[in-house]
Amino acid sequence: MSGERAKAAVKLDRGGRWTRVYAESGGRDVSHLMYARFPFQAGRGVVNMAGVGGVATEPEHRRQGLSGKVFARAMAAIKADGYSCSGLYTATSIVAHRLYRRFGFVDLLQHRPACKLLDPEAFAIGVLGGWLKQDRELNLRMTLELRPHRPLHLRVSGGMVAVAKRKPRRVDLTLRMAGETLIALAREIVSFDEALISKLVEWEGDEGLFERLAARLRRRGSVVYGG
Amino acid sequence: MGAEMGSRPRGALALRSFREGDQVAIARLFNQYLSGFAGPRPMTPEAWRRQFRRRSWNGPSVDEDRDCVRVAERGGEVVGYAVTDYRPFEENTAAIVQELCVAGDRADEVAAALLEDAERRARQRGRQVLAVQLSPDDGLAERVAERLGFRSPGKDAGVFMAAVVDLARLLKELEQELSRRLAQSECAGWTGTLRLRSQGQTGWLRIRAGRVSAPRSPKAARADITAEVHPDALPLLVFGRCSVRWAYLQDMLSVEAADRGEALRLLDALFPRLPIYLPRAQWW
Repeated sequence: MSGERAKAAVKLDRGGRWTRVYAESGGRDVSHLMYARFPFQAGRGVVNMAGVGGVATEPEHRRQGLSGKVFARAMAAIKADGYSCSGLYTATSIVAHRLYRRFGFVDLLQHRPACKLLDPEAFAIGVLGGWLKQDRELNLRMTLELRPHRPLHLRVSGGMVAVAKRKPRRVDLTLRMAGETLIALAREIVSFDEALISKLVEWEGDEGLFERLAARLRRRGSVVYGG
Repeated sequence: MGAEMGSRPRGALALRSFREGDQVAIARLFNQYLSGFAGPRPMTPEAWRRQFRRRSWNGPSVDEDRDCVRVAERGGEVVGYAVTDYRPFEENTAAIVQELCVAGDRADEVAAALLEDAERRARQRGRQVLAVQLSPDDGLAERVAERLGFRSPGKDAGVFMAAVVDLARLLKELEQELSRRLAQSECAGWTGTLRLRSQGQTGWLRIRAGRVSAPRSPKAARADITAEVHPDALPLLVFGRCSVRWAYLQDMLSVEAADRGEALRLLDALFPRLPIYLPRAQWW
């Protein structure tokens, strides 16, 4: 890894509107970002902001300090180009947020999407189906109470989720949450554990089945929700 | 959302899809709303049209889909518009209202009509979820969205970050705006030199006869007021995201001056808290 790190050279390419800053390794661009002029209004005054975007590093070259090197070079170039400030869009949940903080970036505005479930049934089946498709052994009858919608009676079997037409006589598990909580879980705005601790999700029924379901939810990757 | 309008068009509210030429009224609404805010630069009709020509990662294309921009008219005048992305994710299960801008004295009604229209269209297209991007200072949009059953999932998602890379240059760019703010304050008659310092950066403000100038290196490097700002508070302070009092009470601002109260009032006048509006689609 340290050999790789030594080989990567950080370069700057001024082509058109965007200036690209990138680290090259083995003749390939493995980590890069871009910046361009983005005038920013403060009251009636306008300041010369460098808008930074396209920050990315190839997966096999991550955790080698490359993005830090690229960012340091970019910030020096931004200052030399005559910008007074710089801005970028990101999410607080991603690792890069810490990198930006190191370079003096501060959260200025946080976007909060407000959501509405238009088709709770289709959405719930899609989300639960995605979570449980790997677990073909799991068989359960569950009720999903998505406030303010009607409760959904679901059958989980062979990695598939289907809606039961009638309320089953026996329910193994009941999950209760608001519609927007299911959206937040699906988009990974909140983790399942966070939702449980803050009582956004409540449950009753078979503990073993619940733990199995929870284990599936904890194993998921990270997705950024936004426009 | 909620630009002030001089005239008050009367008549029934009508909604329709984007038509070539609407960009003039849209840019006017957007710019009216922006004045007094921190956010993107005022938009020209041409720039607005260019932005929605091709679909990009952060916005839809009106050339591909006229319905993604819906316009509200009353008495033949455009009083609002909404930009909706009907396929923000690969799975095509959601739609997002990215921008909602309305004007006039019945702004709530226009905003509600545009949101209800977006919901109807999202349902017609089989979308399971409709989201609205809300800015923290957009109280009207938040109120209307909540009334229509939209709820925040709890945590913030996208975040806009900023850094000050050259404080002296930034103050130079803001000279006129700072003079304007000073003129409207109780400190309009203050005369002297103010030094702002933050982690290796220094900026000077000279105030004479109600005018603010920001010399790179003043002739006499003596300041009547020296304000030391914590680096975490500097972007917040200069872009109006925190008040001077808040920074002071949080120990993120210290002031050296003969009269500290007067110094804080002056800083308050120069760096007031500003509402911010930055629709995600306007970035880049």
